[in-house]
Amino acid sequence: MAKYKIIYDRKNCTGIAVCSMVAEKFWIMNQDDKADLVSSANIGNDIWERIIEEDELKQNLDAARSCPVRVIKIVDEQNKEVE
Amino acid sequence: MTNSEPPLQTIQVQNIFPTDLPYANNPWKKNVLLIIHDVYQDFNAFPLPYGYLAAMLQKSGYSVEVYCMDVFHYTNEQLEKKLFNSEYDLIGAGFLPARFEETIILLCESVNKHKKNAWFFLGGPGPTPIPEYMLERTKADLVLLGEAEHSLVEVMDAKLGKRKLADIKGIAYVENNEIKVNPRRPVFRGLDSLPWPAWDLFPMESYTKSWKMAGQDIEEKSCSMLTTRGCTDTCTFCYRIEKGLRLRSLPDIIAEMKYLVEKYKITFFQFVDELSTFPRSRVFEFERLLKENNLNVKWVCNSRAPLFDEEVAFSLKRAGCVFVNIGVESVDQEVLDEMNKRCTVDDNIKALQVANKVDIGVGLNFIWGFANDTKETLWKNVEALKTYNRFDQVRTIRPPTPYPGSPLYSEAIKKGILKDPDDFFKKFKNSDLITINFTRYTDEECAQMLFEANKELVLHHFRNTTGDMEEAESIIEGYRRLYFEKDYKFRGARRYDKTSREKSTNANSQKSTIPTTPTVTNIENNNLNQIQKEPALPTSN
Repeated sequence: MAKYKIIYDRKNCTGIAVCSMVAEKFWIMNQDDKADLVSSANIGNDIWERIIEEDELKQNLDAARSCPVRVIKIVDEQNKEVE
Repeated sequence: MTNSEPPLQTIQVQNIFPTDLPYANNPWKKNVLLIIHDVYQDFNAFPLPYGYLAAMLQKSGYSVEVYCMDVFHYTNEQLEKKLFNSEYDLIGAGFLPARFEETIILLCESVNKHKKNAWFFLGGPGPTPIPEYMLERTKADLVLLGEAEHSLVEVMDAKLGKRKLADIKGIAYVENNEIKVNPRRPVFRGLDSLPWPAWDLFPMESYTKSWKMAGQDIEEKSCSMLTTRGCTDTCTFCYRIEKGLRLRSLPDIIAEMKYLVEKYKITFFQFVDELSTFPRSRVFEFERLLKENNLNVKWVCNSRAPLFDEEVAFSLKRAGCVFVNIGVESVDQEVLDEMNKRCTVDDNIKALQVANKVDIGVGLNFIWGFANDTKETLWKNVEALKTYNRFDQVRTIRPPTPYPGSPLYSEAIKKGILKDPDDFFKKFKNSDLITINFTRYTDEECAQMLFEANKELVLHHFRNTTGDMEEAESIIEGYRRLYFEKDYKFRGARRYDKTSREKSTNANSQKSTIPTTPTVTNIENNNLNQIQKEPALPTSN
């Protein structure tokens, strides 16, 4: 089954919280009014990444598409952005 | 006293008020007075923010009184008399910026004269983005920043010496003639933990009977409710006191609706959320829960064009929704992009087509007056309004107002066309007038163009509904006096007129013109025709 990677630019999150509503298992709001990507790793410069399975793609794509400031990106195994 | 009179008896009175509460032995004295200012209209929706504040205060053991100047049209003199004869710990009022010069300044003078030892606080979207200015200008003691349910309780604690103001997040206050602005509170996300509004304190007979919406029968009792707070978007003309969108749980909403139906016989709900239909799955679940709970009620709500597809619209209609407000704003892509609307012209047109297909009332909100707006974009908007008008209301076009706190306000400051809050309040007179001119035209040209556009829309509405052209002319005259004679009392053309709606529906069914589903291209073609007919701009002032 294909895997995908969520790339989340947390420093530019403005706390609109839409991601936490459409994919609540993956996105939770922190006390600093920014979203946290659950079980992700900080790869530096407040960019967070997490690998997801194919069956987790749809709700995270909803989160990415709904984000008003577009700080959530999802790429496939060829590093091509999934839109 | 004579011997024939019975002796006086000492009656043992049980103190029914808990002794650990402030004023426990004086039930006539209240901790907090909330003033709901007049908005000079006969129709007043239940003032939800005050309902929530009052409930939260009561939950924390404090007593609350409300003074509904809106329903009873109390004057400031009457308010002064009331304050003269009463004593409170806190007195407060909330407001939108549009009401500041017209209403709030004088109200503040009255409160300051007679507040005695009370602290006077202000709150809401008016003062939140500009607390220093508001404290200086109004001489109030405090401003509550953002949603204030928790900070108000803490301020009440502080008034009784249980806390220090310096430790309370989300307030600005005056101390030793110096203004202090504390850090904001984190956005409150636990909406289900808030108590329901304290309806019992309010004149519910008035609030439930007065406000009439499109799709509502005259005898139906209605009440406003919040199912969400905030919005997913950040349009440049909009200012919200908190970031982002938060949702109440659907079971909590259903329980509140059932309570209102049972207690106040409500059959019509106004969901005054800024965005009621996100995410889509929630719309379908809400429909299911309403049916499961036998809640056969009517309601209105607010949505966004990209969220208003056919499946959602049919679900809303099946669930009792009779009217949806959609912020279309413009049918020009450059202008939509400029206002950061995050939708396309195609999204807008599709949403309007869906409303016609599903036969659900729709509020067509349009704005004109951005930097990319032109004569052509104005008349494209007029054509779209005429094409998709379902005549639920008289719809017209307003300019954007750069309210303090909005990105548009910051832009105006940056461009040097607005100096500060004081400059804004000097320039703002009426939301149908250009406050700050972002366009390429002069103020006079804008006024003339908006007048001609709105005249066309008003005539179109009445020609297609009641045919009452005297009423149409009267509204047009109101616009003329506003635009050209600066008669600021004009309150806009919007009407919730059941007769108009029925007549238009009948007329349309006879003509079989609904649903008309023109494409974007059709509109653009119509627009071209319209532009040729457009009146010339005035050649002089």
